[in-house]
Amino acid sequence: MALVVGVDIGNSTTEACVAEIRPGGRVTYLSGALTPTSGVKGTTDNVPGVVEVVRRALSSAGRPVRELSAVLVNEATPVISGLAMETITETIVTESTMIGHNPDTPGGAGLGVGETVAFGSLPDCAPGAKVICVVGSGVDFEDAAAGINKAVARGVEVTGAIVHADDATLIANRLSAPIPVVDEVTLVEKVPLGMPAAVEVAEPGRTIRTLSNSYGIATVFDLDAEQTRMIAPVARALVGNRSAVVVRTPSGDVTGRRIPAGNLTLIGEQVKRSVEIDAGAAEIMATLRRVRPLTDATGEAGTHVGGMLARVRDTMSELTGTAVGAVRIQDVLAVDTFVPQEVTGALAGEFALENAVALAAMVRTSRGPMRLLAEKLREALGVEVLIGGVEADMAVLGALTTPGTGRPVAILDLGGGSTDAAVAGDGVVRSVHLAGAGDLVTKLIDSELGLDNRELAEDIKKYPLAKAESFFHVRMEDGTARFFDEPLPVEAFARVVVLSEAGMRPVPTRHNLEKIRQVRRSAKHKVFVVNALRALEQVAPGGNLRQIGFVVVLGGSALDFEIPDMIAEAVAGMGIVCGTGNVRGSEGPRNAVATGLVASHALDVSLETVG
Amino acid sequence: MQGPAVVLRCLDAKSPVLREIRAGLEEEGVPLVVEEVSEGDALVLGYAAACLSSLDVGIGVADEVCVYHAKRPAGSPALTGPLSRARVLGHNAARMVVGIPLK
Repeated sequence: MALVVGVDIGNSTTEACVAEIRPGGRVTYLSGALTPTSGVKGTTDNVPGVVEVVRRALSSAGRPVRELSAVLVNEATPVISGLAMETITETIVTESTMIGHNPDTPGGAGLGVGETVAFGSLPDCAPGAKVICVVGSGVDFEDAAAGINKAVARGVEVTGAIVHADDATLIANRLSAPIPVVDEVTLVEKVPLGMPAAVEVAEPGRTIRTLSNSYGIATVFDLDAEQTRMIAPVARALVGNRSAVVVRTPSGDVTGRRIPAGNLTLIGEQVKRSVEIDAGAAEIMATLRRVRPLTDATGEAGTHVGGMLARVRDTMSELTGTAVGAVRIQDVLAVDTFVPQEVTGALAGEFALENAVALAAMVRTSRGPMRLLAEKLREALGVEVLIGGVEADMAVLGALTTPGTGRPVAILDLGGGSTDAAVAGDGVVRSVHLAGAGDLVTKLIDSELGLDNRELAEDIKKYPLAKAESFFHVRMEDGTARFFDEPLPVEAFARVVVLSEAGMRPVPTRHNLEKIRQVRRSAKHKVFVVNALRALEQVAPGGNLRQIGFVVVLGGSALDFEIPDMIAEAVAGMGIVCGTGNVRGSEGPRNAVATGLVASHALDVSLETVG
Repeated sequence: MQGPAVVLRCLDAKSPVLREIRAGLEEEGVPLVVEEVSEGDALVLGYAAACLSSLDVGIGVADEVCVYHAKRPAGSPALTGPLSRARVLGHNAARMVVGIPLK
């Protein structure tokens, strides 16, 4: 009777499975454990994590380390992926044409057109002049209203106002004749004076009509066709706002620009093809299909894509200790996304969403460090360490312990950095590692929502959303209400919150719940559904998905509350049974490789006894 | 009690702090009713005001400003702050009624 531990060193977690193997090869599984992986997978930095997980698994099985006869580790070819993202369009607002802006409470309603005048200069305006009053910081709302009323009484046509503080309604309420007032303009001192400008405020519950329409702006400023074409991005940026300001300066133009993002060259075993990054993700992936299997990818030097791949290569070479020149990119996943960019010349730090392509690239590195890792482990634990079989084979063996599975079975291992798939038909296991997994989803959520907070993006990825509707209840994203005994924190009030295990976490953006949900789901779809189909297609016998009977979804991302369902839905049409794995009937989608290592070892033992 | 309004209880209805609070509420479009009473600290005044308000939101003003929601327990105001933050607290009292995130 031998006590063994199977250990799977993954990209983000290290898992162990303790079992007893009887001479005939009969296995009794005792326990499992999981810790975060220390260091980069496949390097000696993993040792502390492995030691920790082995100790924990043994202690929960109630067995001391000295009874251990062997530790089995997977032959982890470190598969590392890197991410880069680059904007391919840009809206440039030159110098002084300013646009914006959407405060919570603008004042008045309607459209005002006139020349911009500082509040202090109102008394100097001639009667009959059409002006937009610019009220800087430090002016009290009563004084502002009184000043405007006085000018109007003299015959000056004040048609609108731009205000620094949050008091548009207060000013509008005190005016003899109502005008549109836009407030919370943080950079009010930058509004150019003596320029034609327009201020528009919509009635509550409506959006602006004139300044969000290119021809509306053209009418207001008397623009010709060419000028209208230039101003079109401004109109587009203002769609859906309740209020807006447009200032027209002689040199002020807005243009949409496509940044030359460069060419990506995909080198296959037989062919080599180039594709422009700004052709978009679909085109890049189509080109990749034509050159598969990929042996390397390069980007044009001095372009965005060149920089992206250089960054990936540098990271990989640093992590693995290989020379930059020796790093070969084995797979890429391109995804269309958006990146919020600050609009140059905006009034209150507005952002515009620019098109971007995110690229996940994956590198397979040398196996060298694995022996060294085993050696170090042997020292640390004082037990024999055996490097087990190929990871994919082990994962399949482990997956088959899921109740209800049968051959031919395919596994989809959804990790943090890569998506792996393997198919076991008649004895032969075919496997593939693809770039793009959980980390890319987090990055897409982070950038598309403009959070700049990876931790929060990670929470949004993992947990359902709700909106705090009162101090005592939230409305979940599916419409159900949930009540709390303790009042909710004030920061959460009326906000979208993530219901994580650690509690409620407000999402500090203006995005509504539906928008956040849609970004979350589309990021998962763009990465996991696309990769699942891509992976299965490459391992399926004859490339035919219908030849696969069962798909078992494994890995950390298989614990996600919607990814496995999305994948199951995507392959349902092909008559495939697809679900989240339940390794050994108890471990869920975790522990497949660790369990497979034990099972494979037991098989060897039984063959030895027979032989 | 008349129409829907946030209730404010204070010791001095002529205090300049009230102008700021009133401005905050007016900006958000929420009505306010002011009651002058003879004694109590901001906590006590605020809780009593919230209980009186048909909108469940009350403000107490004494040496500080205290914003209460009637559904919250007596010792647990939603917000408190110094007199210098009166305008913002007025905004936030109104936002609790309107149901938009506080500033």
